[in-house]
Amino acid sequence: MTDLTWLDHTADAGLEIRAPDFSGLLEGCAEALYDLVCDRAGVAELLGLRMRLPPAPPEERLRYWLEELIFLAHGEALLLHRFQVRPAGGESADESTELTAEMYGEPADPVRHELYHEVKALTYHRYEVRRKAGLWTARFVFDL
Amino acid sequence: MKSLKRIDSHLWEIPREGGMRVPGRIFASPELMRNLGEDPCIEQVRNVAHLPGIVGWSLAMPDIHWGYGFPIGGVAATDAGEGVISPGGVGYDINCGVRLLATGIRREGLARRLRETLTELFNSVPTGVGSQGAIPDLSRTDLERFLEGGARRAVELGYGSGRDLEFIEEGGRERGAYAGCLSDRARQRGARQMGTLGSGNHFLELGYVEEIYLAEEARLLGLSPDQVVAIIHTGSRGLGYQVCDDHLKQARKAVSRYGIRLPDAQLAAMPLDSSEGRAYLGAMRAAANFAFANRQIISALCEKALCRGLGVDAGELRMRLIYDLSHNIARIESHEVKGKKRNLCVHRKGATRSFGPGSKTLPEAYRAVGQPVLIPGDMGRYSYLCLGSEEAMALSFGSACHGAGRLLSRREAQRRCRGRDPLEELRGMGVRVLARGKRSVAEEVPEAYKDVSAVVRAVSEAGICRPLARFRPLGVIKG
Repeated sequence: MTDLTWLDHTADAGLEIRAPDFSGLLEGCAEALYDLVCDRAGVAELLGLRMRLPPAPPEERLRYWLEELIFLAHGEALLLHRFQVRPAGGESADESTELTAEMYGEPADPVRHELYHEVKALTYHRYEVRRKAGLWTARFVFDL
Repeated sequence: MKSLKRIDSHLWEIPREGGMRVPGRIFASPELMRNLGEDPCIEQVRNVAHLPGIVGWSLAMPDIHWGYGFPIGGVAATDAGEGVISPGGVGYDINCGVRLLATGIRREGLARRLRETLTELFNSVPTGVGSQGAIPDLSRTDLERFLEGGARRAVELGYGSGRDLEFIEEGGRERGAYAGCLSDRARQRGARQMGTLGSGNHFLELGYVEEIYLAEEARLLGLSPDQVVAIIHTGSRGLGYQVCDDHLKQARKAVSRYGIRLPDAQLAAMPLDSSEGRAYLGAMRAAANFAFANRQIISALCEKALCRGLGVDAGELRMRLIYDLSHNIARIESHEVKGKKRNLCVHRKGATRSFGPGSKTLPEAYRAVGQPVLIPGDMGRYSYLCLGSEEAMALSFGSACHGAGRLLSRREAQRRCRGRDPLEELRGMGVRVLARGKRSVAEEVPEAYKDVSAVVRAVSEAGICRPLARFRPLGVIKG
């Protein structure tokens, strides 16, 4: 359901991700991030985490989400394989809805896991989240 | 290219227009400029010229390439009293830098035992994503001692000697560091990474002196043909990344609070003379000290590994720090502008200091010749050691380039490596590489970078540094 395009950027990783709903967009962005960090296929679902994503404008909420995930990857050394984002109350996701994210993965093991990049941060360069003709699109650049 | 005005053989000007407060200037040869074409990095030089308090020009070095906010290879000096400081003008990897170590070993000695020596290095120096630091799990107090003390703290703990400190910029310790300005997240990201090389373009390289261009100066620095050298490239790791991220958020709020108008959100800046500006400076300096300590610890690990690999003792190895310098940092410096001394905040984002002879910031031993400027190339070709110049003080706020500069995006480099074996190709070039990840080797293949010789020729022709020696790599470890 999620569609991803790598954008050309000389030094870092630029991405454009499209999804039919905002929850799907958050899931797609998380997968893209972890695809930069490691070979997700080699990560087992040994633990589950839950995170609240409080109501906020889409640009702020996506940034909050990705920054939390970067910290989990490199501050807590957790590799995540799968992500599920849902409106907390089961209704449709908009700015005023609290979202709940569930994440599954395991602690990083440099011997067993194939690790690719240390994602330094989500930059503000050309950062954009928009909804047009029923499609959510996010564009951003990770500093690697 | 259309709007660029050539003002010298290796200097191009972007005329002031719109909200630019100063013109832009790019140091490059005509060929490097042609290759840049309409690259977005030129627009980034223009954007930097909008910073309040910017003095002289928004500058770029010949290794310029597209960054975010600032171009990589960018230099901007702002007035220390009325100007701003921009966390994006330093970048996420605060005090990313390089150090050059000389040894008493000759090229043949290393070549005979290269495999064993590289293996020892690879096993001793933590590399790659998720690697555990040489000093694992620093307590809050221990971490603060590094953040305040920099390389000095590493020496106190037995990593290297007191002599080393004289040969590190700022004596290995940025004054005015304030650990209290770091978030818990920044501390947590740093606690496990003291003494780690990291991933991406960070590396530890063993090579030899292939050619010397300035014989007398090389003797003074203690370099001779065929001598084995080591180059370490790393920075402040996750701690620095988090410091930048945390303070960029503050800078974005400051932009509204102080009515600063900028064309790119990543350029967000705060007045130096503000609580936000002072907090960032304190935190940035603390992260810079982390980086100084990190490189000092890796040097000590490198010395031990070389002794084991080469089967010599430290007395025979005679490893000696030539110089350690930063290429992502902002510093308050005194420069002459239109005949007047002014205190400026010089942002160098992928650029190094290139102070000329006589500068009091230099070690006494080097004061007569100027600052060593280390310019690493890609891992298959060569690296250069240059010396800072008087002209750099006049033309570029005492700055020069920091490396070769990327030519291909990481994905393009990976794409071109499909069906190839980059490790074997590098071996064919006489370079043995040990890396944690195959992907990082593909992304860093020599063709992903400009030829550093062209970049060094450009800074030399522009007069902002003088080439002293060229090094050829024999072995590299990376994440």
